Amino acid sequence: MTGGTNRAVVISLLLLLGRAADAAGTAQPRLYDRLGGAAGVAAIADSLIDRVSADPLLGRSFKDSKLDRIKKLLAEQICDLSGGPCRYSGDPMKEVHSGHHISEAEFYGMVADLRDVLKKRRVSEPAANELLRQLAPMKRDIVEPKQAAAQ
Amino acid sequence: MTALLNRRHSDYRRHSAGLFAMICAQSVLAGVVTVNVTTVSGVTPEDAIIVFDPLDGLPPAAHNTATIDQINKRFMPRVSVVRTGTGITFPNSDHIRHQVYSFSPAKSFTLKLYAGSPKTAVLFDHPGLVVLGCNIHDNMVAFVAVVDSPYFAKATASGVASVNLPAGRYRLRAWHPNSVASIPSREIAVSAAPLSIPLSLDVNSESASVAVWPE
Repeated sequence: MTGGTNRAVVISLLLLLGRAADAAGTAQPRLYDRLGGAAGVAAIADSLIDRVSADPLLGRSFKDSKLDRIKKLLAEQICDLSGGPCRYSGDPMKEVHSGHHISEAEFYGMVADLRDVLKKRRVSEPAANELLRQLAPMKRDIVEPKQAAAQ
Repeated sequence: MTALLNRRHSDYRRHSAGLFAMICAQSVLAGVVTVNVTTVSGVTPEDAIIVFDPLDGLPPAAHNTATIDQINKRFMPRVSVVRTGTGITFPNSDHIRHQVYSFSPAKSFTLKLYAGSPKTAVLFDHPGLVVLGCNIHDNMVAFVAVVDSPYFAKATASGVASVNLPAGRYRLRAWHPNSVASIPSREIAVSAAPLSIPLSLDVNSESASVAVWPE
């Protein structure tokens, strides 16, 4: 009877220790939390869209567009990508950008603006890099080849 | 039972003969009715809609089609008037996508439009005013007036709206998206003689609200 209780206590302690080791070692806070959670992600999306839509080079693709809708969908997408509790409900990136003839220069212009926004919001360098790494593969769906743009 | 069947049959024949006589009479007695729309505010009366509702019965339904294109982030045309049962196709002449929607009770729908995507017709099967917008772009707005009558016209920039009408009695309705006050409907009688009807609208192009549709 007593031996059984002791064994249970030991197992519980071992489990607790294991969890503590996890938290201190390999497991980091989610990228979503490092970006500032819901409020942080919303602010990043707001600032980025405000910036690019007012940019002389990048603004043309946002002309006459409902910016609030883009901000909401971008926040949702970043939340989804960074492990937050959202599911991106917008259309695929290729469809969204099709016909806008986005150039490489415009793509990298927006990346630079995002870097600036993250820096201003005091997001750590590793967290910023991780977010950009998540977004980078979208380039092939956003930038349109020159032949298509010439049509 | 037999008597009942016979009566129905004769009713049907009498009705057909009546319809035939009516069609003949109409083709003989058709008159051109011109509504001359003027505005008190100096705004062009273009986009004003004129509808003549026959008070003596509607002609048979027909399968009509219409088109509303998307050009430079604008609906073209901005105002359409179609008969109930018309299928409207929404091509997209822009290279970018659009997302047409309506929350109007007469027809609510959402349609994703990509450049070169198949043009599916949307059936407008209830009378009333349908207001269209684009989920993606601000300032894209269009109006579709769906009416049971086949007799309607849209005013030109100079305010002329002409309809070829069979003789008979009609209710004349008028609407403009930016009219300040609702335009009272009136009853008119049409004969073979050409008829000219003056109509004055108070239109405010800055008006943010859409004029009430005259049911």
